[in-house]
Amino acid sequence: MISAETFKTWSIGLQASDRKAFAALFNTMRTPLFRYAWTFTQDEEVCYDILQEVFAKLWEVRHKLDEDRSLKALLYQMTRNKALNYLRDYGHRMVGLEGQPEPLYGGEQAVAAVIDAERLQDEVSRCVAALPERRREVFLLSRNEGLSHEEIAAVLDISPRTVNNHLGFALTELRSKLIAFYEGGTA
Amino acid sequence: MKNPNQESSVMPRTVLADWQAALPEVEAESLELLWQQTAPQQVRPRPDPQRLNEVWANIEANTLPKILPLNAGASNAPVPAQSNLRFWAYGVAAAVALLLGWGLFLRPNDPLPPQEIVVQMAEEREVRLTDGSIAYVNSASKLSIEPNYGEKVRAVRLEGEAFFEVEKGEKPFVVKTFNAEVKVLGTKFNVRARADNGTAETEVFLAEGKVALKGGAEVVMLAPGQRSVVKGLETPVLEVPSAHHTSDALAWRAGRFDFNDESLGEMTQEIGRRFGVVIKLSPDLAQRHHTLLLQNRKEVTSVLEDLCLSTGLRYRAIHGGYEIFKP
Repeated sequence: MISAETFKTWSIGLQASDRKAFAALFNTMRTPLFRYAWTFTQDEEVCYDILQEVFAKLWEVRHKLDEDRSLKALLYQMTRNKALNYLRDYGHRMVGLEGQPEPLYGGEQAVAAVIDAERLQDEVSRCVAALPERRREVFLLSRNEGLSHEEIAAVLDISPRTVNNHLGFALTELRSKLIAFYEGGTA
Repeated sequence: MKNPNQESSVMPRTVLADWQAALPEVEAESLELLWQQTAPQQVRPRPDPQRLNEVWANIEANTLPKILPLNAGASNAPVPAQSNLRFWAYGVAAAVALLLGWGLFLRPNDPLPPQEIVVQMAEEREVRLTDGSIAYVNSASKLSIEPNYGEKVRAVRLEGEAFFEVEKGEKPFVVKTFNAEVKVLGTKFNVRARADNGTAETEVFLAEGKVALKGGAEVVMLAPGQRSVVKGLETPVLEVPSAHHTSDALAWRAGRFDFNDESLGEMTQEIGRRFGVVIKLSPDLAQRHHTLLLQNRKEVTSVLEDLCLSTGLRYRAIHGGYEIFKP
C-alpha cells in the first residue's frame, strides 16, 4: 500500500507542477478510483470520463493543494462528486450503494467445511445492504477502498468522530448478526 | 462465479487499526472474521489498461502544458558539465574544502576547531545552526560544523543520518559525507550516510525545494519527492534520481521503521542504533530481504516481535542485546 508520506510528496510535487508526480499519482489511483466510480454509475464508459475529469481538475487546482491534507481523500471526494453529478444529470439508474448487491461466494473460507458459506455470504450482503445509507457508505469506504477514518471523514465531509461512530455501529451490528447466524446455522 | 476482489482478503494495517479503534472491545479474531465475510459483494469491473492509457493520453494532450516547467521533467537528467562548473564555483575556500576534504581543510593556525555534535545510540538531537537552519540528527550520528560556517558557505559534515531544514540564504548550504556532497539554498531534505552499513552509500531524499547532489565527478539535481544514492568509497557512483516510494527516508523522524525490501542485516543495524542495543543474527539470515512497516514502537522487544512474526524467525535476549535465529 502506498503510504501517506508518498501522497504527501506527490502533493508537494504537484504544487510545483511536477508532471512525474502527477503521472505517478494517476498510475496509483486510476484503478481504485475507476472501481469506486463504478459503484455509483455502474457504467464503465462513464467511469473513464469521470477519471479523466477528476485528474484534469486536479491539475487545474494543483497550486491550491495543501500537502497536510490527504490527497487520496481529495481524489475520492472529487470522484464521488463527479459520479453523483452524473447521476443527478443523467442517472435513471440507482446509486450503486443503494442497490441490492448481487450475492456472491468468493475467496477461500476457513469455515467452509463447517457452514454453508454461500448462505453466510448472502446473509452478510443482506446485513450490509440493510445498514442505513450513510453508515453503509462509511463501512464500504473502509472495507472496499481501505480508507482511514480521517480520509473517510474528508471524503464525506463529516467529522472523524462521526466516522468512528458509524463504523462502530456497523461493525457491532454485522458482528451480532454474524454470530446469530453462526449459532442458528450450526445448531 | 468467483469474487474478483481477491486482494480484499488481506487486511491493510491502517484499516485494521481503525476497526480496532471503532470496536475496542472486540477481539482481533472476530474482526478478521468480519473482514473475510464482508468481502466486496458487488462484482466491480477492472478497468481496461488500454483505455486507462488513453485517458492519460487525453489528460496529457488537453491539460498538461506543452512546454515543461523548469522544475519538472528535466530534473531527472544529470546536469550538463558546463553548468556544473558554474554551479560549483563559489569561493576558493569551498573549492579547497572540496579537493582536500574536511580533515585537511583546517589550517594549522586555525583558531577554531570544528564544532562537533555526537549523537549516541538511542538518542536524537535537534541542532539549531547560527543562520536559523535546523538539523535533526538521528541516532549514532555525528554532525561537524565548520568553524567559518556562514562566511562564504554554510558547510557541515555528516557521519550518519540527519534531516535538514535549511533557511533560505545567499550562502550555499553544503552537507559533506564520506563520498558525496549535497548543496542547497533553502529546502528540506534527508541525508543518510552510513559508511559501515555493508553497502557504503549516501542516500539523499528531498522533501521540499531543490538540491544538487555531487558524487565523484557527477552532479544531479533532485526534485521534491525524489531520492538518489551515491555508492562506493574509492570511486563513488551517482544513481539517477527516482521518484521512489520514499516514505522510509523520513520514517525515523516520525519514530517509525519503514523497510522497503531491505536486508535483515541493515534492518537490525538500524533498529539497534535507534534503541541502543546490539542485535545479532547469522550471516545467511542477514542476507534475507523483507518489506516491513512498524509504527511508533517505544520498546525494542515489540519491534523484534513484529519483525519475527512477519519473517517466521524468533528472538531471544542475550548479554548486551538480542539474537535473532531460526526456530
